[in-house]
Amino acid sequence: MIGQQTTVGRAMRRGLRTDPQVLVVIGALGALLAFLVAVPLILVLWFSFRTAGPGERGGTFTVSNYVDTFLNPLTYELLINTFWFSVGSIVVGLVIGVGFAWLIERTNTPLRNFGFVSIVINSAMPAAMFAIAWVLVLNPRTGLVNLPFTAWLDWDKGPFNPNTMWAMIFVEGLRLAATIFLMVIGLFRSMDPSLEEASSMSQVGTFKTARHVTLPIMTPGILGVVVYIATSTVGVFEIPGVMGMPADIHVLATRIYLATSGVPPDYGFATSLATVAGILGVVGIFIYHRVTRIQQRFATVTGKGYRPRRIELGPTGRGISAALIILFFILTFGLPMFILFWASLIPFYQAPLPKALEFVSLDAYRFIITGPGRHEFLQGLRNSLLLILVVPALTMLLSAVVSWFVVRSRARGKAILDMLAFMPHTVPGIVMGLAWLIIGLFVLSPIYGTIWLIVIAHISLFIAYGTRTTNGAMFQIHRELEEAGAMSGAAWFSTFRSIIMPLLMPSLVAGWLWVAIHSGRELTVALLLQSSSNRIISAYVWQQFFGGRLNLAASAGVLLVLLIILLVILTRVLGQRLSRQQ
Amino acid sequence: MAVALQVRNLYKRFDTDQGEVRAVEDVTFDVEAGAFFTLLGPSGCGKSTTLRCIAGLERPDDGDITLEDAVLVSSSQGMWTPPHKRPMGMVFQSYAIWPHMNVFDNVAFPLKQGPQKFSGAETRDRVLRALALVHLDGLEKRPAPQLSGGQQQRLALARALVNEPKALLLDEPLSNLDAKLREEMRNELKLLTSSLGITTLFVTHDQLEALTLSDQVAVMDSGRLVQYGPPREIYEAPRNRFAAEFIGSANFFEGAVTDAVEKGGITGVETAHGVLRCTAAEALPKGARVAVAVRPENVILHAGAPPEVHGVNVLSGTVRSVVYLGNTLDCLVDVDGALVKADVHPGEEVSEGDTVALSFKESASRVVPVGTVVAETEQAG
Ligand SMILES: Nc1ncnc2c1ncn2[C@@H]1O[C@H](COP(=O)(O)OP(=O)(O)OP(=O)(O)O)[C@@H](O)[C@H]1O
Ligand SMILES: [Mg+2]
Repeated sequence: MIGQQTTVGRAMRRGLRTDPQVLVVIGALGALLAFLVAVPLILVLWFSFRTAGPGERGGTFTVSNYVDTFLNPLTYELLINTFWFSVGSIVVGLVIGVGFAWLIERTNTPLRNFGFVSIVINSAMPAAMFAIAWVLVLNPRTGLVNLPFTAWLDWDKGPFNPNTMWAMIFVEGLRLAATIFLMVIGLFRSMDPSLEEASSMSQVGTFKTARHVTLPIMTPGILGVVVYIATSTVGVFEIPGVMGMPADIHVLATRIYLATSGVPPDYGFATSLATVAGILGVVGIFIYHRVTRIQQRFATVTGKGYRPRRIELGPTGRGISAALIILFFILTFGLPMFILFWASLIPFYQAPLPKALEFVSLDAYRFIITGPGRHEFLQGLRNSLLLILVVPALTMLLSAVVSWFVVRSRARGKAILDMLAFMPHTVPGIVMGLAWLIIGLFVLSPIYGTIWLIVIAHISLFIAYGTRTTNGAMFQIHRELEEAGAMSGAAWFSTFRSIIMPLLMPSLVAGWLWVAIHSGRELTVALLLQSSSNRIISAYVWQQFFGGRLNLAASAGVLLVLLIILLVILTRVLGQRLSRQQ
Repeated sequence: MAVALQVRNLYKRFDTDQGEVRAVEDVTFDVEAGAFFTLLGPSGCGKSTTLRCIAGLERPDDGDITLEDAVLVSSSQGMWTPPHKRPMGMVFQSYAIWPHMNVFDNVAFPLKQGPQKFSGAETRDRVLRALALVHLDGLEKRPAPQLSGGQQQRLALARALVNEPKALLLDEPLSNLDAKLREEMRNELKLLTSSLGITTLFVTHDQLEALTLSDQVAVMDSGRLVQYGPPREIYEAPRNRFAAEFIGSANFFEGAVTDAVEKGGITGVETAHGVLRCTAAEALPKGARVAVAVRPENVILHAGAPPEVHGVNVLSGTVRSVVYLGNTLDCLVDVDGALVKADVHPGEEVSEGDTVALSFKESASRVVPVGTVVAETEQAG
């Protein structure tokens, strides 16, 4: 017994290179990650070069999928649409996101906390629901923004239309603003504020300082954010799916979806398009790493005099910025939520005008909770809850173990582990969805059609995020803390369980929350993998919306948002408890 | 000399999660035109906050600040001038060199974006002059992040001086340099500021920097100004225990004044070691509780304790430790249970366990109030 413990202790000090137990664990982890990440992607690539689709017998090597795809004029239209959609929405998101980050982090604007809350609360709303809400708001006849024209001017149609590229760009831009805000605010925080103060002390005013000092210094960082975001907009499905598809405005993701859900499914077209999207993603991440390396050249040493100071806005400035923050809240949460709630209250959608009040009722809620619709809805709810409980727990556990090997051990192969864990991030969600569809049909047919396939797919989707969080946290835990554990005679596993895990707990909780929210609202993969028995709420909302049962879609959606908000609050409370304990 | 900068009853408090922090409490001082004025104090005593209030980077809760007849801050009139409207240059502790510009552009920035407009030729001329002043000529094209620490420091100085400010503010500019470079830059800074004749406000926690650079030193403790005056006065006649302890080190003997005394007069103090005679830093009544402060270098050690050592201020004790510091021997002597520090010439034969006699001159000791009682600030010079 004693002999064994010393072995572990010594192995830890030497970096575990020789311990066979550790090699076994690393091998097992590698195999698991390879199964979760590499196999699905390789299968996509494989089938893009096969004549037969998944599940079919036979088939030979071919490039005809690519030839067909690239001879098809539709493909170019797709690529061009995807390009404009990405560029447009990123520009919108950047202007709003960076502007807000500056206002909230760097100035004495009023409503700072409210601004923060409205950014975060936006993430509680699934993208598809957000798009549905905006479809209602922009509807040419009944949309709120068109009402002045139709109701007062008696026009046939108002000027705004949700089924256009412009509308898609605007709505996706609003979504991206929140993400960009959260990424950019970190950049603002890590910037030495004395760089701005030095400009003030050179008798240069606030806005000139923002333009000539703050913005140029942040440019490489912002560029990194842009590339990072761009890799995800290439594969974005929900908003083009809700707003563009009905008007035949297609992007990569919607075409892949259509190709797989058609009868018969066109896997050749889908897999070759997915490969193109995957390559774009990998290229994007490659550029991202280059850009962030450039950014490090800009990194300045912050002295111990570091202390953020807020720029003082005048009364007009404060007024304007307060108005902007309120407007942002209305556009990203208040208005969409209001419209969805309204839509859930009336059986056939009408504009929220006094004359429609007589139709208001809770029938839709009754129908899906206790009425004839309850089977489908409650099944979706059960499945969603299962995802929210199981996916984050497994993802964060796996992340913690992977991170330990990546950060702590000196075992060979840990770089491969890290790369595998990061890979899902470089691949658009729709491609992962397709990959898991193929696996489900081809390799894991026993669990095809069950919620467990979605569980596994989601873990593979979120492991990239999970390991980024735990890697960062693991770096902060001083190696000597666990060495002390080993020196006091604890074996590796008990050291990991009783020292590492508790110290990691705050980050695990934060990561857990992020994964829970994203798993609960995820649609793309869930939709591709759905069958009659594994439907989750977000897919239910989608199905009801396209089935024309708007009130059911809206009421389920409202309940989902409430569920996510509840989840956020619960974890916040739990997290605060935890950090108070430590 | 004319007063350039006036600070009156400055207060600054911060609300933090742990409660209110009183960073600056009732600070008042004057800086004469062209003087080198230093704020000295331990970490967290509020030096930077005071400086930043003067710069306009922090808004004081209360107080007045005037620079050459221009009122910058006046709480009674509700006046506050934003930093970019104050004619001051500042060097930050981190230097705050803009990494996206080269050396030339860093220095040209205040001229190009500032309130005054200069022609291209004029800008160039001024920038080159400023760079020459800090010996950075020839490096105009160099990207700023590629400069060494010392060069960044000079660049920050050139940038602060380029539009000829009325005052120069320096927040621990030397603390990021290594020891040798620090000494070099200290000398250069002294030369530069005195040749320009610019009013300079300097913040440091390094007493050596403060004593060697300054015309006036102000000692701060927990947000308050404890004493201010010429360096020599601060060192030789500390007005309280904090100032005596923080600047150099000192031995203290607590006791009661035996006879009322005028400021600067000699008095006796009844201590546990008998009556000690020393110079009063201020007028004191008979019986006042005070401490006698004696710097270690003023303590004379008589090895072998020859019985013929007589006169005032003689103590005897046992050597507890001797540390060799090269240029001195650092001795701790146990005098009836109190440890007294003495710096002794390295040639002296002294070792642990020796019985020795200690003495000090009455002119080399000061009577200071007991504890870190805050002295009211007094008009200096
Ligand atoms: N923005 C702030 N928010 C909260 N507390 C602050 C802030 N700025 C300063 N303080 C507090 O005020 C006190 C004085 O700080 P200041 O920076 O002036 O000290 P300092 O004398 O410059 O110290 P150092 O030598 O370490 O730079 C400290 O206790 C500090 O923690
Ligand atoms: Mg400071």
